[in-house]
Amino acid sequence: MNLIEHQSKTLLAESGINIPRGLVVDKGIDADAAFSSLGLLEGVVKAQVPAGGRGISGGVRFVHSGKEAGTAATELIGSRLVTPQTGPDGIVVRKVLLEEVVRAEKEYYLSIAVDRSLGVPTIIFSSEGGKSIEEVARTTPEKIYKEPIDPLLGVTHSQSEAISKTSGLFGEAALKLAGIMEALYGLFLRLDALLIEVNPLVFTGREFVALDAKITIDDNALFRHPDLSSLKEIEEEPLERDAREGGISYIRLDGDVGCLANGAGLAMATMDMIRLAGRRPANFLDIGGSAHHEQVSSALRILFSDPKVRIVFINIFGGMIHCDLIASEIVEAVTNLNPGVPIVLRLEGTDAEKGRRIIADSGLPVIMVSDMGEGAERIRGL
Amino acid sequence: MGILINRDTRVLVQGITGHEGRFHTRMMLDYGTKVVAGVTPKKGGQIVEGVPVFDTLKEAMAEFKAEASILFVPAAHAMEAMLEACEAGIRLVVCITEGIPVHDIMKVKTSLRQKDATLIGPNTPGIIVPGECKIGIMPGYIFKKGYVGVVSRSGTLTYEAVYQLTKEGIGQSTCMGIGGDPVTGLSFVDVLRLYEDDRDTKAVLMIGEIGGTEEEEAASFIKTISKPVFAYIAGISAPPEKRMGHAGAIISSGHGTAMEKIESLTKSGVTVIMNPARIGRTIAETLPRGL
Repeated sequence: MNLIEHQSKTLLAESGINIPRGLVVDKGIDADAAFSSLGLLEGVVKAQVPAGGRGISGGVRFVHSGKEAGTAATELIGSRLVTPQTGPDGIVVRKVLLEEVVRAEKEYYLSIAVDRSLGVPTIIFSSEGGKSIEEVARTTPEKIYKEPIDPLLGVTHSQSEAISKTSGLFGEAALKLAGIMEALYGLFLRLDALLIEVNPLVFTGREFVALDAKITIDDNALFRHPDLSSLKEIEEEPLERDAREGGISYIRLDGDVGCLANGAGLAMATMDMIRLAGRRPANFLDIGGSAHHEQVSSALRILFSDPKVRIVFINIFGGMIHCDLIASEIVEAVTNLNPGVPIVLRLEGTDAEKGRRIIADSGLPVIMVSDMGEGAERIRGL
Repeated sequence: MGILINRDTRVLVQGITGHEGRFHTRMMLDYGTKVVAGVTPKKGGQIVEGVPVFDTLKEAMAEFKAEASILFVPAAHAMEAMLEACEAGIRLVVCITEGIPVHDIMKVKTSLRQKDATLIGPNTPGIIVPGECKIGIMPGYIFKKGYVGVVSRSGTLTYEAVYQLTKEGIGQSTCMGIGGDPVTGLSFVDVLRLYEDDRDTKAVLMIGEIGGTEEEEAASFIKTISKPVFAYIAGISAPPEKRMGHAGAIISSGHGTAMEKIESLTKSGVTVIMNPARIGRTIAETLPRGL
């Protein structure tokens, strides 16, 4: 789960890290009022969407009066913001954050992330703050400092102080920076976070302030953080929500070939086959390696209810699930839902022969294919 | 024959009394795996599929000196169960459970490393040495004894690939899923190293997918090994910033795409198979006869 900037900042503030004074509003008129209630002379209006690259995409506006704040907020709220990270459709802006402008003497980058290769948390720090860390890695990789943390011990003082020294700051400022790293690590643990990124973390000459923040929380850990589920503000596709509630993994895409497989890897491979056949998948859909009756029928219902779907490709390799059971589910779902689109079906593995007979005996116009390759060929011609 | 396990490996099942644990204990016994004991807290004294059940791993280990354990323990309790296995002297932990928090796995991985024990998974179908031993949930009948080592991040896609190999008459030395989570015990590089050192493995099939940099790390390692490597990478059509079923399968901030992985593997001399329906065929056409 990706948190939005203002949610991330509230959590940082609770951990004792300074954030700019600001207010979240969902109407232009409230931004106008907030400008005066915060006593600002200049401010910044920031679109609250869970995607990076807002600055270069018009999602961050500097304002010098309540009227300007109101205008900027009115323009942003309800519009679709397209950034390099959102895809071509963009994301609808529901709220904006109006903040004071903080004068920076120096900008830093600070994050704690899971290093997937080492399997430990890692503190990443750079004196090149304010730009994307990918860009710094490309241009000046020597300015990125990475420190792996032993998950059984946590951050030690000597580690945080060693990283802090690379900032070029001394004395009290360096100690403050080390303290921020330790506070951030505490938050990383408390939230079961996969990433906490503060960029930039600015030094004003006296204090450090987190000007922007991004937090990603491990979905697999949400069961032990009931308090965090209320932060889920990001809108879900209705079909994706139905699927999640039915225990299926489903992602809607922009093609017209609906597909379904058992297992995430096979489901991705099925999408790739559709692409190789010169068509575009309408979705990713995994009913799981040991799907039951309900998953199969609700998966088919989701596919058939997507108006974009013009062909359906079902690709089953029966390992632990039996193909005859899957075949009966398909016959039942197709008979009941009467989808009116061609269905290409590949059934292989455990009890595949029995499964194919069930389909043949049903008399339904299902196109049986013997492997994924033949399936793709049939789709190409439809 | 094969890596990490063989026909003599003694296996303990953690979470044996649940539906999945019970079913797969039966399937493993039928395959010939030496399942010696099971553990479920507060269920000690029961017998499941002819296997004695204990309350704790320590008690089970006092009576049966198992080398390996397999977990069917719910995600919320999996960390505790794996640490218990490590503490009791288990050398190889195979974690089938899906949905374990990453922070828990980071702790388990570090603890096991300190004890020099091996973790496969989590979110893995397990490991099988065809004809000898299966510690996992894969359908045993699709495998055939032979010389290709298979390593994968996925379950059913592995079955698909193995089925294609077996249909072409190509057997497998060992097949292992490293798991679909962002942080796993063994990595592709670890398993490739084991296959390189295994004299019964003559070639390797690696099945990767979007997300992370495991395949890129494997690509640089492959430059140093002598055996031919084949690869298929799932997800050329996957969109960015969406988790494709597996917790670890996500393209984030433009990184972890299938094309990046395919390019670095190709540069390392790996035969990358683009069409997943032709995995078996391609290997059959490329490998010298008799393998």
